[in-house]
Amino acid sequence: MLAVIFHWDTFFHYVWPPTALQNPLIRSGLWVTIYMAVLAQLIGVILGAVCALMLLSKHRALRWIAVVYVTYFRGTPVLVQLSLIYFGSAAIGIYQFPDLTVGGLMLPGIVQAGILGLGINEGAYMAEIIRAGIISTEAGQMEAAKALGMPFRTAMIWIIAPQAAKVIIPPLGNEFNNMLKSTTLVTVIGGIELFNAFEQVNSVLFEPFELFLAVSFYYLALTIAWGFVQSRIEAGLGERKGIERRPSTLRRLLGGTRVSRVSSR
Amino acid sequence: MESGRSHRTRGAGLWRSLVVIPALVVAGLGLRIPPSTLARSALATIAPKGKVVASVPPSALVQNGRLTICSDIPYAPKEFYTTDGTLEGSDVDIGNEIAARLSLRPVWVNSVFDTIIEALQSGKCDIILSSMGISAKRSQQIAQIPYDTGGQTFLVNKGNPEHIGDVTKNPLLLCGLKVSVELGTVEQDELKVYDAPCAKAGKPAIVIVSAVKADTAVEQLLTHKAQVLFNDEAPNAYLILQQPNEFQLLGKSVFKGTEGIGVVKTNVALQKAVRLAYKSMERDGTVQRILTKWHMSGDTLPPGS
Repeated sequence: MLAVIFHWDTFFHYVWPPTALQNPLIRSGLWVTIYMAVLAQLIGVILGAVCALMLLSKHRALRWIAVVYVTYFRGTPVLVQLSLIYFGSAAIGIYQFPDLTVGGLMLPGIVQAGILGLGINEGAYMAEIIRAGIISTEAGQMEAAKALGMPFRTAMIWIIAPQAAKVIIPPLGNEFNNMLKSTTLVTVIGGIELFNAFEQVNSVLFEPFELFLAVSFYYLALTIAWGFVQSRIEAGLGERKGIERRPSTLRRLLGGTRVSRVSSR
Repeated sequence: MESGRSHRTRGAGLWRSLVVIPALVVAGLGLRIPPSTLARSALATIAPKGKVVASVPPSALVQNGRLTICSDIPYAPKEFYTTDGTLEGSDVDIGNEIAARLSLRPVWVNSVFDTIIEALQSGKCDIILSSMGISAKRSQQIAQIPYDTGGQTFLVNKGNPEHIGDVTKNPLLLCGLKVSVELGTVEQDELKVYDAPCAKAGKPAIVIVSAVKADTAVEQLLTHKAQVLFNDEAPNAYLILQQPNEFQLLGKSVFKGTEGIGVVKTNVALQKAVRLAYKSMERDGTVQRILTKWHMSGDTLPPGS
């Protein structure tokens, strides 16, 4: 019979941030995870927006390029894409991924490749999401904008995009949730982010269950924190449309009489 | 539906927060990331007694002033991070000393072993120092400068619960067993050599459980997913040191081979410089001191030293 021993001391030492973050690898790993996710998502949104417009374009060439991009990057595994970008692009001489220092911030080559790879992959998914958002706005909106003499860009930014945002934000939040967790994939090209930092500790302590359970709570904390931000953003969007927000538990406890920022007459 | 604020201000506020929050996050992160850990430069652990023996022209380096070293971390005791986050190991000591003797700053780049040659060839680093055995296959792709000789050993769970006989004396005992190895290692190729006579002897084939990282291969044995671990002599000995209640050796070491520092084939200038630096370390006993420090009693200097 296998004796099951759970090393509570190791688990608590590494799940409790003040003690775990004493390890500089874990500290930098946590930051790398956060800023990789944020930057990759930003790149994904920008690429996705451009690609969505290309998908909706009346020029067939633009549509085709966009379709090829979306099909390829949604149809191949992210792991494969990361390896291709990290090794392949350097092998054919496009970009070597040297360590860069941008305004005091040090970006190792592996992290650059990770952000780029995750961002380009994300762009393919965001393209579909943004396209759905744009399509969801009434056709009349664009016509009215053009009738008012607005150039396409102004109409897009000021009329279509705010309305499309209501449809884009919930899946975007979902995508960022996934992105926070997908950052672990850079270990395949040798990146030392949060999970790899715990793997390094494990190679010394040999307590994988305790350590990996501990690191899972860090990811849980990140995704839950993002969940709060996302619901606030969605509530804010709901307010704009005049949807009354249910008062928070705190406000009800403290006896506030105003139930939402949109005051009724 | 009159409200305190105008409709337009409310809308603008939402957009402002969607742009400002990510910008603040990125800016805040930029201010707070500790640069030293992200720079990954390992502090030289051997006292800088070594003098500078050679210089490397900047064109031979990936980044001027630095010796960028690709290594698959962790691989205790050759290269691993301690729980304080410091990079240590025999390869780390050797690498840092070579860099010091070429008056360069060592920068260690973590890699994955089965793509480490690609990493070197695609310009991620100047040299590979990752306990990489010299083999004909590898020598075709990169230059390998010998720096350490060691064998390989088999590891089993403490107490040998599966009662596996000495496979080094009778290799057929490996047939039908689950053996874990790291991907891309010579051990992986050697297992195929062990496997060849199994079918002829009418025994089942060796089940090779391969793992991308060395510590995953160890975990396979730890969690009984594999019955035997086939790995280099020094790391296995170190594992027994770290976890005496978990592992034990099975038989003596086999396939004594030499490990080499990998350099791109065409980079003759760097090869010459590294060779000079290493030879000077051999002569003044630094290499032997490092091997002793890490209890690598099974390892010796390469033949012909």
